[in-house]
Amino acid sequence: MKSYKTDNNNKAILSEQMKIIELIDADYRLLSIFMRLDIELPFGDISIAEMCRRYDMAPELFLIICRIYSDDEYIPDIEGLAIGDMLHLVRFLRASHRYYLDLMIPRITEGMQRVLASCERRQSNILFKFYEDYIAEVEAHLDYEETTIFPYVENLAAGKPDSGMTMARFMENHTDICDKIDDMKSVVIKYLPESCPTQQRCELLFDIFRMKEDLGKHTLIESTLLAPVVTNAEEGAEP
Amino acid sequence: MKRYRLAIVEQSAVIAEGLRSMLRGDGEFEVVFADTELRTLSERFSVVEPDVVLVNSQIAGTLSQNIRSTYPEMQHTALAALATTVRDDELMRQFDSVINIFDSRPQIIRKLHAAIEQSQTNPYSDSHDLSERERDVLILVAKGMSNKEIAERLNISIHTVMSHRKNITHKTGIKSVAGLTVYALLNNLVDQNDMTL
Repeated sequence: MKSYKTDNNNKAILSEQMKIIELIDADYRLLSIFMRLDIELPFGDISIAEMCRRYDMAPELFLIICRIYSDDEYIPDIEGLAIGDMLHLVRFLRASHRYYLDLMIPRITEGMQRVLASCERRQSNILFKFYEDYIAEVEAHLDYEETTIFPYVENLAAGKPDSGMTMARFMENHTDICDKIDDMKSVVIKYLPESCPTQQRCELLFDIFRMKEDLGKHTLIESTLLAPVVTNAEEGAEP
Repeated sequence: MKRYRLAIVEQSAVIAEGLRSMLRGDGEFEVVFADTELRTLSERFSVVEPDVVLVNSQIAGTLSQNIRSTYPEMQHTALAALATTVRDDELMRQFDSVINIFDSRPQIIRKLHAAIEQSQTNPYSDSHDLSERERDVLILVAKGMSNKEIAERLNISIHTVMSHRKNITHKTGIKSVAGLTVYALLNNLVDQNDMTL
């Protein structure tokens, strides 16, 4: 039986009083959030509020992130969020970058190599080049955020706004990295030769789907949470 | 970030203007067209090139067929209904998403996204095979040509090139140029030596 409260649609109602174990029971995919924030297991019986205190995370923001990750229809309400909260968010986004670069991408690269080993050379070269180009694009995208957008937000929060730039301008330069991973999924499902072993192909697909979903949520967090709160702060910072 | 082009077909100027001002400054949706008739949009479709069309459901109710059969150019465009009166489920079925005039701004934006996603959910269509013309276009895309160059080479309009490209994506499930190039290479439509790398 479920120990947490649910709404009319049987969706878990996430709250600060909820225990960590209940949160994960409600949606085990949220484990990836713990992984990237380096939150140590075992959680025992502690509540979300308690965990956030220990790890210096704003609980409201942590819950918003969890809701974005587990509810596809959820649109965050940014009222009450200030630029200071965005420091916590930037910390989360940076941690997500490490999660992609250190964990997910190497896993997918390995899976890709395993699957392509059974293709003829010409095909595997074509596919691996597409894959490598895409990864280079993702890395450039993440690097742009790390070196340009995040420091801008941190400076703004510290009361030293970088007057030459605005969040809206950054978002214009923000490239789309979700389309191509979707293409990669289509290629792996539909166009790889039958000689590729099913087991390995499916394992690779699991990881591609996980990465694709995560990048989608990452982009959503930036466009519906980070960008509007920072834009509001820019307006407030004007003399 | 991708910006989506939104066309509004709505008889009430107050509502159309309200939506326009609600979405003004939105990073994602830009209202590029507003009129009271679907026919006007159909005539100007190749210029307007909307990603999503928001139509008052009453206007849809006046057509003898559904919107996509009446206006084939909207075949692959996302359609969202704007419901101002009691909804008729039969009529609503042709839409990818239904927006109510009492919806909040975030709800409206979410539903516009849902419409675009819904209209793209069926990339694995039955007609997986590309037509001869679509193959021609795909080959030139893979060779790195722009829509304009392809139009000149094949002696067709840019608009036609774009609708071929939409169909190619619809049939293959692949959107990006890099992905389409991989598809063309894997299917031996182009040779690696043809590629300008």
